[in-house]
Amino acid sequence: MTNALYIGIGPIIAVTLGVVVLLMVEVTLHPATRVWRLISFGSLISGFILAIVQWADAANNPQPIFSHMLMHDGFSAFGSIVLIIVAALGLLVAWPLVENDRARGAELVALVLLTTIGLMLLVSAANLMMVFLGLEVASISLYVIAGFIRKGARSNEAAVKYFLLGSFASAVFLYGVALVYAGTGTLEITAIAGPQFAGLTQTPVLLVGIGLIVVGLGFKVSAAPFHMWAPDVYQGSASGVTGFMNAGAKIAGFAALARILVVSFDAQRGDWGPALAVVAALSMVVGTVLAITQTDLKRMLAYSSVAHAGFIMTALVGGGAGIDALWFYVVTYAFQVVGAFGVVAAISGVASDESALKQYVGLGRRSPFLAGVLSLMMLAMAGIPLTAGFAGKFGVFRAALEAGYTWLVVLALVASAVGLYFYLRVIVRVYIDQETAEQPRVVITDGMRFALTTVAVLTVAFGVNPAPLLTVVSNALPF
Amino acid sequence: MVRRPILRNLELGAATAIFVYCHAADGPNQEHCFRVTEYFQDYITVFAYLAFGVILALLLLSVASLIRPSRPTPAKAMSYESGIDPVGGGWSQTHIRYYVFALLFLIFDVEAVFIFPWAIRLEQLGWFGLWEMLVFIAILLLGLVYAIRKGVLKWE
Amino acid sequence: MTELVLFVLFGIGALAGAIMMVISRNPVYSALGLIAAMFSIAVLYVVNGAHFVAAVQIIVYAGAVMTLFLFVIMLIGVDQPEDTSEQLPIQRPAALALGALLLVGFLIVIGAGTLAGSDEGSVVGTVEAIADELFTNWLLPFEVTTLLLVIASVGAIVLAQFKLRDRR
Repeated sequence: MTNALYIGIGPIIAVTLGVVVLLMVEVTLHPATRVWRLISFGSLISGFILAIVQWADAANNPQPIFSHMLMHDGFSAFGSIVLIIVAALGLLVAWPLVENDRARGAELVALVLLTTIGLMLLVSAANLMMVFLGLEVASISLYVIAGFIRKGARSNEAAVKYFLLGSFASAVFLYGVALVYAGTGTLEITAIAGPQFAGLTQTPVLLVGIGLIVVGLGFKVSAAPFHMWAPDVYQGSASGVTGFMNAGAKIAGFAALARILVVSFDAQRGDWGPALAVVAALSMVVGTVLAITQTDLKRMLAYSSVAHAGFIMTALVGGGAGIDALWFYVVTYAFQVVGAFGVVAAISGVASDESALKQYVGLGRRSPFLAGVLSLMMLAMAGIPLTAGFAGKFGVFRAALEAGYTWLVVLALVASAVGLYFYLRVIVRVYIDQETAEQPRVVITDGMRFALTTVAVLTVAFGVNPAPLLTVVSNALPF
Repeated sequence: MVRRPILRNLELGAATAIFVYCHAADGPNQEHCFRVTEYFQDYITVFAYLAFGVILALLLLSVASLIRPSRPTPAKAMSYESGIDPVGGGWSQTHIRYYVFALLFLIFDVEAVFIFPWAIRLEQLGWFGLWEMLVFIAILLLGLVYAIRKGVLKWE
Repeated sequence: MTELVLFVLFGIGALAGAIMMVISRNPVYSALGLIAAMFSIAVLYVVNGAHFVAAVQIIVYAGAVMTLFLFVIMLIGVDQPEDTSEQLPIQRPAALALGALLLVGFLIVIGAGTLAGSDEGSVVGTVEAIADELFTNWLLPFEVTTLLLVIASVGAIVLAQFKLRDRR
């Protein structure tokens, strides 16, 4: 093995140790739940610190590590930092779910950490085989998390649906990898674009391979027409973990897609660019139109995540120039989605598999804090100025315009305008509609309050002044 | 291992056939032929055993069916449960506990398969190789210890 | 010549196993058909010089994975009545059409001769060659597979309907 640079997998090792220690301590000592918290957040915080160190180190000497299996660069380090933050926020929101199930709570925490490991491998992978392994580690953990509520029929349906369709998507992805290998004879992401394969850029086997890879990852990020599972899975999973499931898959899925397309297949951009634009357009239209008709907030957010997948993909149609816009959008969207599902978990309960919009009537009086956070998240998702959502949309639209996809940007603007309708409808429910029946009292834990405050502050901060994050993401480019 | 003469003869016969085929005056490409011969020699024992097993089973069953009396009764068709009357059919649903056993078997089967090549190359891999396999086995044992301590292997 | 004979024999064997798997009414027979197909494919691996992969195919796939399959089949219960009516009438023609499309795709790719192949393809698939690659260049993926196996056991125990003791 060449180049075993351990700082490059520092965050992954830290979180893996967290899983090992957590499971072993749980089965040998049966500790109190605060020990679970100590171990899991301890490993996430040490992973976060190591990811910062990795970021600083990668800025000076980016390089492929572990025989070209992983990439030690700003892209990987930034992805790991964001994923660890999202995992920590997700665990804070999901914590009541963990504590309520004393017999299986530690496993839920372990699975969230294992998902995070898989997602970090996905953003760091420099080899298509590593991409696949990361995808599987994350996906299989997510299937189990989706079915965590064993007694809920919807949760079981979500797990089975996610598992069957997800395995199919993994197989499609793997077939694409196999065809790319058949076409180029290598699995290294940086080597595929190398000079020795310059004559093979348009061979059919390679193009079909790229297409299948896009389909496989498009499924994982719930882009239309591969989104069919998303509403049922995100509705059926326990509300406490849905935000993490959605945000994590989006961040790592798009990061892997961006790295593969931009680094390996830049020469074929003329082929995959228009295809990606069509998928993006379809996602925006389908997600927006179907979100309008929903009466359940979880389902609506699921369809809105399909639309957002389209917006994020818009950044990629122009190739490498859009990567910083993609990062900005996907990071800020991840915070919004964790925040929005966090509010859902507080209103309908962490184990709930539905959250009817009528539960939100009069929330402005019952809980001004939750109402405020939810409204802020809705405004940010709609892309209102002074929220991070606006800066994100601005960035991806500019990237697409510079690549010459004016029609896509026009469509995206229309979709955003239509989307405003259903986001504002939630705010109307929360503040303006009159309560007709007595609503249940809202229970919110300190951890949830902290997580929701964090995402709200970040959403406003990146909206008012996007410059710091923009500077960071402009350095988070693949090597 | 001492090979039974019949297998030894089969093996020799096949090897001879290949030798004749490859050294015939208008024989095919010698290089290609060498490769074929080599792998065939490695597997000839396997094939011989396979053929022997199939023939033996067919022979014994057909001879037995020819010479034995046939008097079927319903009691003879019952599943054998150590002399106790069986409960339910043989196709009925089993408990999920079996699944966890099968899963753990699969996990350690995969581990065993990885250990074979490792053991062959351990001298070349050195201490680093030892460490990497220890990490591998340690994480897998984690799964086993976890299952045992969770009590899912206990038959209650 | 030997290669051709073996390919034809075990190619037919693999096909027959696959067909038996698809058309059997009893899922246990389907599983047996799959074992036959996997065994035949293992022989094809041997013909291609991939000895280790052939052994893995037999030990892990035809052995352990099929054991797991059979346990799952028995977990569901073979004697349970089953709804075999097809929900989507378009399924069969669609499957045929897609299969034909796949065949055409293969023919085009093979006809165009665009497969680059690998320089490493000439490496003999012996256990030594696999070990030299697996424990040096492919070390990290090798270690990551352990995580997959741990997820499998944790996930099965989390999802299966065990009465885990609530140790409050």
